[in-house]
Amino acid sequence: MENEKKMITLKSSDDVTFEVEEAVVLESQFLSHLVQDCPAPEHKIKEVTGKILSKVVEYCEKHVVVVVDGGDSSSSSGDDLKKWDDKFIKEMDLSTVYDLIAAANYLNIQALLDLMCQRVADVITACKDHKEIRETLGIVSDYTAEEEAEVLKENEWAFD
Amino acid sequence: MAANLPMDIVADVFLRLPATTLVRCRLLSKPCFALINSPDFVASHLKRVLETEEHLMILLRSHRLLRRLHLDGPDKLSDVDHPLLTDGFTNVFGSVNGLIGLTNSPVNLAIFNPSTRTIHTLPVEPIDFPERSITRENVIFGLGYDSVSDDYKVVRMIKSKHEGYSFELKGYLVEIKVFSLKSNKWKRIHLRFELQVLFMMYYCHVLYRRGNGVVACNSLHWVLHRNPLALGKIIRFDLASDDISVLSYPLELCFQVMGLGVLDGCLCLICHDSHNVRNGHVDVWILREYGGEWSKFITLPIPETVVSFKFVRPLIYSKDRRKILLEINNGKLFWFDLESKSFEKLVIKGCKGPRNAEILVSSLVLGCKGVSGRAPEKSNKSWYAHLCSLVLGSRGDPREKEIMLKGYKRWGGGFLSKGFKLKYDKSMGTLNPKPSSRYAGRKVERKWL
Repeated sequence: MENEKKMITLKSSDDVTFEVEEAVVLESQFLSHLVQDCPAPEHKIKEVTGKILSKVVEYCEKHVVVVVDGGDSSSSSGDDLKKWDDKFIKEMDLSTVYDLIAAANYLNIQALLDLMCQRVADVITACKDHKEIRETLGIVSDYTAEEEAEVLKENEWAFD
Repeated sequence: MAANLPMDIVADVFLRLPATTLVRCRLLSKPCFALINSPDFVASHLKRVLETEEHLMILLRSHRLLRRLHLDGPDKLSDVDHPLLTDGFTNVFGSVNGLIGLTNSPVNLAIFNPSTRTIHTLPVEPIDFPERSITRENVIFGLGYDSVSDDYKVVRMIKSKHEGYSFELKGYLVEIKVFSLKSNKWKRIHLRFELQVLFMMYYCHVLYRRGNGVVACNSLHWVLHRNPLALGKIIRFDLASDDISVLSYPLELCFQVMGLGVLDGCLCLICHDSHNVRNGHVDVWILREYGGEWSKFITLPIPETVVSFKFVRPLIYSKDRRKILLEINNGKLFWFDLESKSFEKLVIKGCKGPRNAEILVSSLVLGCKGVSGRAPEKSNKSWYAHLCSLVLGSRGDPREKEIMLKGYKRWGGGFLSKGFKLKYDKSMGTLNPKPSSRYAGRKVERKWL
């Protein structure tokens, strides 16, 4: 069985290559279509850097292995996977999270996108005020001072 | 750091936030404001919250105070200021999709979202009977969501204490009206003759919440407790068609029924266990499939700290579904372990005295235009403290008293258009309602406690 596994090479925008099993690639809807439509041994992903692609590959490899192993008794491996996910995002800074969101969005990996969005949501929940949320999300306010005061007044209680 | 997240990703992130945080996020930018206000987002957020059971809260109502706490973190108790504070004692008569029903009297009603503090005051709907023929236990309410027309409805049933047939009203002295949030109007419900008999007498004794409708299968349900004409029958109000019909339960349970509840969308019948009367056990029967057969679900032994069961209601399963949260008597909360059949008390710090509990989801339904509900500054405290001690006695929660005082000070504002205003009657040394419009000066307000 071992030597029958089909390997595929992914190349990042900065020409870092990753050799992965086909099953790993199939975690991404975008890549699985690409592999089906164009059966070349190497695929260049222009939109994703090597640093981020390594994270994507790490995530997909982990999730593929667990799904295959946990076919019979999935509950403990499900918990393990959650622990792994928690550790995976804990070690990550926010800018990597944003890059991974962009990559997961582009490559269409829903579970990774969910994980990253939840991380951002947790960060927002921990913010003490809207200014900190703006900074976190990199949102530039387009309110005039008067408009902002009006919205603020509407929900004054929420900003205590 | 510039995140430059596209708006659909921002929406994906926002869907995971509790409603109160989203109210704050409206201040980020105009696109965020528009997103959070959009009906599509509100609907998706609600759908997600109901599916994932994230951000679930327990709403606690004591005489004067509404407080909420997160089910995951019962240490964080926060006050919910609500405008009905200004006007007497408020009861909560239901909780659905993040909204609760509030009532100060049969005509002072509101739908309120504690997460966004948005309130919708119901138009005052007069009652057919004179006030003197209405008693507390003969007014029952229900709040429900009609998924067919995407509407929220409030049902009010009032039974005159004078029994018999009224030719003027063309029926037994019962009035049933339903309010639709979409139309912002009340509508009278006409009862078919065979159903009118059921309403000749009804009384939901002892604890007022027996009268609160229970939602299952797009319908509201009431069990007409100890009503000899409605034995083995549950009154069902179909939220889509506004029709009233009857749902049966095993007749042998009819003298044991304590009340109705709902668990996981299934209707539950709470019954004294006749074989275990001395031990005071309670049986919970469940209707797993609407229209199917009732089956016995669990038997609850009596927890050590409870003298006797007066009111029992299942609220929710734990996340691992091994436990059920139960409300017992005056808002005592216990986790009941389905396997070990043991109780674990849910201790809520900083909350004393009798209260009622409702499960509340964090939703944006009704929008974000919250009312400020700010408490006024404290002054003349000694006078108010005197009043407070008269009203509440020495017992009770100190926070409760404080809120009571604040509320009293604000009576001038009068949040509801018509209805009761309280006045301090020195000769009585108690709070009496000042009758406005239809209600003559009985101590109705106290009765509504």
